Amino acid sequence: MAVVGQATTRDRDVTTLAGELRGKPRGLWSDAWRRLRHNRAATAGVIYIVLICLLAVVAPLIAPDNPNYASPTAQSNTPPIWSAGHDTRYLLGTDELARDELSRLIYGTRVSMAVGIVPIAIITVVGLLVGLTAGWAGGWIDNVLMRLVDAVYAFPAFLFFIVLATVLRDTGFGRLLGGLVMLFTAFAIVGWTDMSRLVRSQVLSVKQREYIEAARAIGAPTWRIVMKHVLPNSLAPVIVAIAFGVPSYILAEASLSFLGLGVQASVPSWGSMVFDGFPAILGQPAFVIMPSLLIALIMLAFTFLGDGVRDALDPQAMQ
Amino acid sequence: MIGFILRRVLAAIPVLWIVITVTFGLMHAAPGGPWNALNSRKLLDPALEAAFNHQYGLDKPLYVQYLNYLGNVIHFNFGTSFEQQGTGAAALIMQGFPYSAAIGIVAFIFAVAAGVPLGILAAVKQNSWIDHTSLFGATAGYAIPSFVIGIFLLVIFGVDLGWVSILWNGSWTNYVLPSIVLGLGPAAFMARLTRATMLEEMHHEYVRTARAKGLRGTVVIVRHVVRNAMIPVVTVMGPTIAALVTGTIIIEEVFNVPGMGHLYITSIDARDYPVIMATTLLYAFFIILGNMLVDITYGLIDPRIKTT
Repeated sequence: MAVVGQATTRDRDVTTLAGELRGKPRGLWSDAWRRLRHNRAATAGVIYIVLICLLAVVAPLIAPDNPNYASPTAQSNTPPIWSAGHDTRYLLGTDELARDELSRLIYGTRVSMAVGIVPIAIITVVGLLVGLTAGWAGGWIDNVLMRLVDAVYAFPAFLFFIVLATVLRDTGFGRLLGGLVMLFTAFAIVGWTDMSRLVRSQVLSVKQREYIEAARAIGAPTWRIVMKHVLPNSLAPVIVAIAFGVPSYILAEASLSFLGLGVQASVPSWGSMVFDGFPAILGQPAFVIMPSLLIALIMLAFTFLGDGVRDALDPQAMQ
Repeated sequence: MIGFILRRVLAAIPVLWIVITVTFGLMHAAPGGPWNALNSRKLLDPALEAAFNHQYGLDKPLYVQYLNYLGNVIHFNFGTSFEQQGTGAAALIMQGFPYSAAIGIVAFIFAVAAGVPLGILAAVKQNSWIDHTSLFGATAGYAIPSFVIGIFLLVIFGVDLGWVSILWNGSWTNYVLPSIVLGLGPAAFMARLTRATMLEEMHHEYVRTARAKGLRGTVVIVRHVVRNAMIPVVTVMGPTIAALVTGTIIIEEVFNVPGMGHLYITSIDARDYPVIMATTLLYAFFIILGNMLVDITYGLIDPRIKTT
């Protein structure tokens, strides 16, 4: 015979109390996400990266001019707007082939983003496949795969890029997508080894855990154990590797293009713009500084993000 | 001990062999031989081309060329340059080697001498302004590519201030910027790593014990902690040496150093196979040597490793 009002009040109290006790759902990923969000440098990095990605996507709409063809009225090596002798039509000046510098810088975002994302995607897929297989199967499969990894890993990466770029530059394959396909291939050939090793060592440690044994005991098929239990629990170092891998390939492309070995001559990549502007460094250092600055900024952004991701996922910090 | 060292040395040989084979394969898969390099001015009469090919042994079947090359390499004979007739590839490399070596060695010393103490300092004074500024500086030095930093400094000190010459004039001032810029990336990486390992060590039990025993001040703790924190730092010196070796290629282009890296780039342009192969092998050799020395050192300083 409870008084309705009283019961309702009590019910509400109990519900509220229980709600407070329950709290918001917490787990590995939400903890890590929360830590990442609070990292100001990482957040700034993400914002910058998103901006650059947006710029890369809408480049044709934003760029004032065509980055690859010089307009007939343009002069080459026009200085940027803050120097004497500038041309107001070309805010950041024109390069040695009279192409608009600002447009080339904007289109350069496309090359950098492409080189950052595509090889990493390939490497992650291949690395996961090889690492999961080697780690889970063990035995001779593991042995063979790891010997292969060692053999590929032995060749110093940058030297391999240089040699491969030298060999393929003038072939049809090397000219696909302005040399980007060749770069993707080179990076992928070298990069899958690290990822495989990483995944494999994670799998080896996850394999020992009790929930795997439990899953096997209740008769879960191998593929389900691997997909639902092993894979998600091996992902943390993979994410960190991705976060640090993207800038390393942006850097590799910029370095190769700076040596004249990366993208083909016409493609507006920041690295090749430094290469193009280098002979004029005494007279017009701006042409070398501008793309260099953009390279520096994107690398900083990714490094801050990578640091943040690694700190967020660090098992020690999670205790 | 000797067995451990010997095993490491022997393990390096197959790696060298892989590098030789892959480089050889790739070089000969390239289109355009040395006589009709696509950007070259030379266009040869077919009979002349055949004669050159015969003289340099380029008309033999590939596996014969490979075995010949392998045999020559073991005898340290790297052939003669195609581009500069009559000069041995090895001789050409030796001309440029001293400059590259000087810059590389100074850069390495800078990387260790600047990076490690900075990392230790930052860890000991954690969360102070020293820590924050050095961490930010180290991140910037690590993230920003070396050729970007090199170009900035070159513009500031070479173009604007005029303290160093853009062209190579042999004076010692020419060596300063390239070495520092080359070593800056590894220095930053070492600083970050040292700080991280130091922090990790400082939270271990033995540090608390030492302090409880009354051991005096930070100095003694640093001496204990630093020793243990150095182990991961030593392991990272292998990749550091690799980065320095390949970094010289880029730095030499930025600062116009007449070293091996510059020779490498020009010989690539000219499809000068013997020089390309010899330089690639030499770079790979130094990288492998560096890794081997680091492996051995790591085994020597960490008593837990000797048994592997």
